[in-house]
Order: sequence, then structure tokens, then C-alpha cells
Amino acid sequence: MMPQAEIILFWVTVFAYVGAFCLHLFGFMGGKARGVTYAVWILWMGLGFHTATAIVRWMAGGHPPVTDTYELNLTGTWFTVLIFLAFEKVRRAERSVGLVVTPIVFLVLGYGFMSRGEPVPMGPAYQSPWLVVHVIFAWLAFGCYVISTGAAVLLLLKEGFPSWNPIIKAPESEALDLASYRFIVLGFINHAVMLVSGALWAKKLWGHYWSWDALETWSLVAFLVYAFYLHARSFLGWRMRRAAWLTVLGLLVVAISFWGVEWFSPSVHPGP
Amino acid sequence: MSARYRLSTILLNGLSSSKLALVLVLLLILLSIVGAVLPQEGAAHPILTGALKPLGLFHVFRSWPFLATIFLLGINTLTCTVLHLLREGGFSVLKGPKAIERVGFFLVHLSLIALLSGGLWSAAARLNGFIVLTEGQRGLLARHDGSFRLLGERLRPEREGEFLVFLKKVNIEYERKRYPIAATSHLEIRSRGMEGVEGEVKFNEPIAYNGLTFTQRETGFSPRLVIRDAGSGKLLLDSFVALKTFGKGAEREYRDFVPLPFLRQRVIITLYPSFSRDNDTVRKAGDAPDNPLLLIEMEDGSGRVVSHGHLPSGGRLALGEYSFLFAGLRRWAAFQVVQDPGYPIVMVSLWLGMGALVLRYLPDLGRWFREEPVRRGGHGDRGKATRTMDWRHEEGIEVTLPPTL
Ligand code: HEM
Repeated sequence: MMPQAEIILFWVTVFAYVGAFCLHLFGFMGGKARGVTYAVWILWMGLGFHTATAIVRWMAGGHPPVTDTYELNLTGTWFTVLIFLAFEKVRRAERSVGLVVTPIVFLVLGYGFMSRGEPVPMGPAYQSPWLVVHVIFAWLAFGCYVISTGAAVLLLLKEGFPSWNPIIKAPESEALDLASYRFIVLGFINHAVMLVSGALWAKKLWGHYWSWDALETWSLVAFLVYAFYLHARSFLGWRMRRAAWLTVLGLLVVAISFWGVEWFSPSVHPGP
Repeated sequence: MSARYRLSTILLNGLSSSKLALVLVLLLILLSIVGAVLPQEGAAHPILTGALKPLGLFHVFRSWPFLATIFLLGINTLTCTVLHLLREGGFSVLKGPKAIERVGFFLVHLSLIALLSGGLWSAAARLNGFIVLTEGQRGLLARHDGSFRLLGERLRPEREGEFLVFLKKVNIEYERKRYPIAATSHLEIRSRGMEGVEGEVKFNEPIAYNGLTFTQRETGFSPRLVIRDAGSGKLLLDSFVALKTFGKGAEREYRDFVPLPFLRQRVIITLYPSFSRDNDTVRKAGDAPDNPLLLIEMEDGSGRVVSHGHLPSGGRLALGEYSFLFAGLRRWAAFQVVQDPGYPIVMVSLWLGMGALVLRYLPDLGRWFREEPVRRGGHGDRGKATRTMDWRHEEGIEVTLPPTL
């Protein structure tokens, strides 16, 4: 019963997000603000179903959904959508970054579902308060970086195709650049907390705070890319297009650290 | 004055240059990617390992280019940060309008220098060991070739820095007899002239003794196996064999080779902690060891299983030239033993760095997301933003076999 409810809720969530994306796209292409507003409503509805899916999974497993790739993707996208919706409330002008955020969300959800297994009790290695801190901040960072990339992609489109009709109505490049930079800063702070809580947890679980395993290293690389971004902005004045390309590159490295590590090398890490 | 002065000025300018900072961060990124993508020490690759070893790419994170980058980054951060502050008026900036951000900026980089120093000290001074003990086994832990190792001969700590480690019991709790939800090792540790400790070690809950931490890394099953020559009845082996655990969840398997070079055929043993029999097929029924069964498989030279048989607890089996007895079941536990003098510095710097980062950006964050009021029922994408632009801005791995009983 529980797994069925979870699967149904999961797909309703995905369809809501796909629907919101389509509406947003039509609204954007046709210059209809109302379409975009409806898309945001549907996104809120989707977030409701998303929350329900996570709660059902939590009840079935007896622990927060943070132990395997499916659960991690479920939780991570939840944070991403929440951050986006909060952002949208505060800064309506740049809501079109949703056009990039929503597809990333449903792709990550779908990718997670491919490896979905039945919920199992939490193994002893995971039973640490640091896990919760580590995972929450990892996903908060991810959410922020996705939104930052959303703004960066729009900026690149705007600068690359200045006479394309829909993009003319997108926020100005400077506003997108600022939004992108600010979410990198937010992501960077959360990323730091993720790395530090990970190190403290690793010390307790493995005896070493850092062992240079592939997952840790990729995560550090992502952090360093963003550190490079902040300093290049400060020292070299990198902004707009250059900063935007670096933002996109940053998200690619983050994506490798979240999902791509096993393609490259074996890891002892219990993570996704 | 002039030549030396000029030289030191050039050196200081070079070392503190912001461009150098960017180059070093970039170099650190590249070296880390190389270390993440290529197999490193613990991992073995059939072709790459042999090719990489001579190039030093097999241990990137201990190689001199990497360590030099870290070292230079530390010097660069130090000089750059201090000069930056001095240029801005020294400590007086701490009173200016952006005081919180300045303090944040300074502490972020100070914590970074502390982190790099603590990390380098860890790398240089840390002692490490990976030990495996079966329930009821004692071992003498001592420094050997730069790491902690279990030495089996003497059973009393006689010298300074030697420890007697005794694994009394390993308890595992299961949910639905299948999923382990808690694992506890009961350890006793003693050294010469000091009071010993006795306590429980769990995952995430290491035990500390005399500057060493004992962290439980893994647990598993150790069936006691007695092997005799089927013809002569001569005893070949009587020992607990620590089985490896493969897979996760319901697919978990407990298996290993019998580690005896003199056996003419390769023998693989698999443990079913509890089993069910369905006609001729035997399956694992759970992971709690209620009703254990051993599967013994013998391979021929090409790795094909040529004969096999099942052994219940206390059972005997003749297979090929050997007879097997399953004489009992215990557990083993593996521990990481670490002595790391750099850790306290690293820990303080991590906390400091996190706090400082928040400090650096706290005033900005408040401003950024308040700065532009939302116009209710506004035009969304068509809304024209009223912006106020802010343009500023693992070694010594040793697996000891339990002693022959
Ligand atoms: C990975 C290591 C590093 C991290 C995490 C880091 C972090 C930061 C952060 C968060 C800021 C604030 C950014 C801003 O003001 O927009 C900053 C600024 C700065 N960093 Fe770093 N940093 C690192 C390495 C370095 C190095 C090696 C140097 C040495 C040259 C350096 C010099 C500076 C300077 C001078 C600023 C001030 C920029 C300003 O006030 O406008 N940083 N750093």
C-alpha cells in the first residue's frame, strides 16, 4: 500500500513540475505574465505532492529519506524547489530562472527513480546527527547553485541572442548577473557547512576527517571552482558572460560530485 | 640596502599577488581532479597502477607538486591578506563602515591558513593502522614502519607505545532479522604503566585512549573451520576465517577464499547466517545468525566450480581430498587506529572558517534580499527591476588472521 501511494505521489509531483515548466515556457515565449503566475502556482502544488511523497517514504523507511540515490534526489529537489519558490516571492523580477531550474528538478527526480529500491531501515553507519546536517546543507548548496545557473543561462541567452523576442523581456543582464552571484555566495556558505560537517562526521565514522576519496575530492573541486569564481570577480572583475560560463562549469562539477563519481573512480563514501 | 630591499620587495609582491592566488587555486583544482580520476594508493588497477607509479601520479595527494601548491597557497594567503588589510589602513578598518565584512574576510583567510597548517601537520605526523580482530582475540598493537600494526607474538605491552587490544564481544542488532541497525564492539585496551580502558565502540562512536582513537570500521562473520587431509586425517587448519561482506540490504553476502596456499584447489566458503531449503536449492533466509550454514565450493584451475557441499553448524563434509568441519561461528571487527596531532587545529579552523564566512556575508545577505520590494500582481518577467547595483563585490593496511586455536 505504502509503496504504491509513494509511487503515485511521486509521479503526480513529476507531472506537476513538467506542467509548470510547459506553462512557464509558453508564458515566457508569448510574453504572458499570467501564464508564468499559473506556472508558479502549479509549482507550489507540485511541492505539496513532493512533500507528501517524502513523508510517505520517511514513514515506510522509519528514517528521513537521505540514504540512497533515489531518496537523496527526492530530498534534494525538494530543497531546490523550495528555495526557488522563496526566491520567486522575494524577487519576482527574476522568476524566469525557473525555466532552467524546473527541468533540472524533474530530470534529477527521474534519474533518482531509475535506482529506486524499497525503503530499508537505516544502517548503523548512517545513524549520526551529522548525516542530517551534511545532507541538508549539501542540498541547500545544490539548490542555490541551480538557481544561480538558471540566472547564468538566461544571461548567456540574453547576451548571445539579443534580438530573440522572448529573451528581450527577460530581466536585464546586470540583474541576472547579480542574482547569479548572490546565489553562488549562498551556495558557497552552505557548501562550506556541508564540507565541514562531512569532515566532522568522517572523523567519527572512519577515524579520518579527510581521506581524499573520489567523492570528497570532487566536492572540494566544486568548492574551489566557486572560490575561484569569487576571487576572479573580485581580483579580475570577471562578470556577466565570463562569470556565467564559470557558473555553468561549477554546476557541472557539482553534478559530477553528486552523481558522476562512480563513473570515474570507486569510492568508500556512503553517499549517493 | 637597495639590491636586497628590491629583491625582497619583488619577492613579497610576487608571493602576495592575487594572480598567484588564482593560479594556485586553479593548480589545486587540476591536481585534485587528477587524484580523483586516477586510481590512488588503496585502489588497484590492472594496467594503470603499474604505469602511474613511476610518474608519482599514484599518490597525487602526497606528491611534492601537491604539497608545494598547498604550502605556497598558505604563504600567498598569509601575505596577501595581511598586505590587503595594511593597505586599507590596518586595524582602523575594523572600525569603518564595513567592519563586520572586513573581520569576516580576515578570519576566513586566517582559518584557511590554520587549516592548511593543521592539514600539513596531520599529513606529516599522523600515525595510522587498520586492525582486524575476532571475538575473543587479543593483539599487541605497536608502531612498525610508520604505522600501527598488530603483532601477535607477545601478549603484554612491554615497551612504551605498545598497546594490548582485546576484542571481547561484537553485538549486532537486526530489524526483521535482516537489516543490521546497530553494531557494538566491546574492547579492552591497555598500555604499560597506565590504567586501561574498557568500553563499547560503535559506528560513529569511537573510543579514545592515550592519544589514540579506535574507530569501528566494519564487522563481519568468522566461522571456525577445521580442515583435514581426507586420506591421512592430518590436521591442515583449525582457525576462524574472517569472511568479507559483499553487497547491501537483502543482497548481502558473506564470502571468502580459504587463505591457505598449500591447498591444491581454490576453496571458497560462503556463510548463510540463516537459511531455507527449497527442494535442492539453499537460500539465505536472513542475516541474523540463527541457523547458520556454510557452503564450500572447490574450483579447478580455470576458476570453474567443480564440487560443492553444505555444512550446518557442527557438521562435517568430505570434498575432494579434504574433510571440513564447521566448528563454530564468531564475529570479527575492524578498527581504524589513529593518532593525529594536527586534528585539533583542523577542527578549530573549520569552525572558525564557517563562522567567518557567515560574518563576511551576513550584512550583504540581509540587504540583497530586501533591496527590491515585490510589486504585488506585478508583471513578472516584464517587471522592470529597480536595482541598486552593488558591483563590488589510508596507509599501513594490515589484515591479521586470527590465531590458530
Ligand atoms: C580556497 C581558498 C579560499 C577561500 C575559500 C577564500 C574565500 C574568500 C571569500 C569568501 C572572500 C570574499 C569574497 C568577496 O569579497 O567577494 C574572499 C576574498 C578575498 N580573498 Fe580569498 N579565499 C581563498 C583563498 C585566497 C587566497 C589564496 C588569497 C590570496 C591572495 C585570497 C585573497 C583574498 C582577498 C584579497 C579577498 C578580498 C577581496 C575584496 O575585499 O574585495 N583568498 N576570499
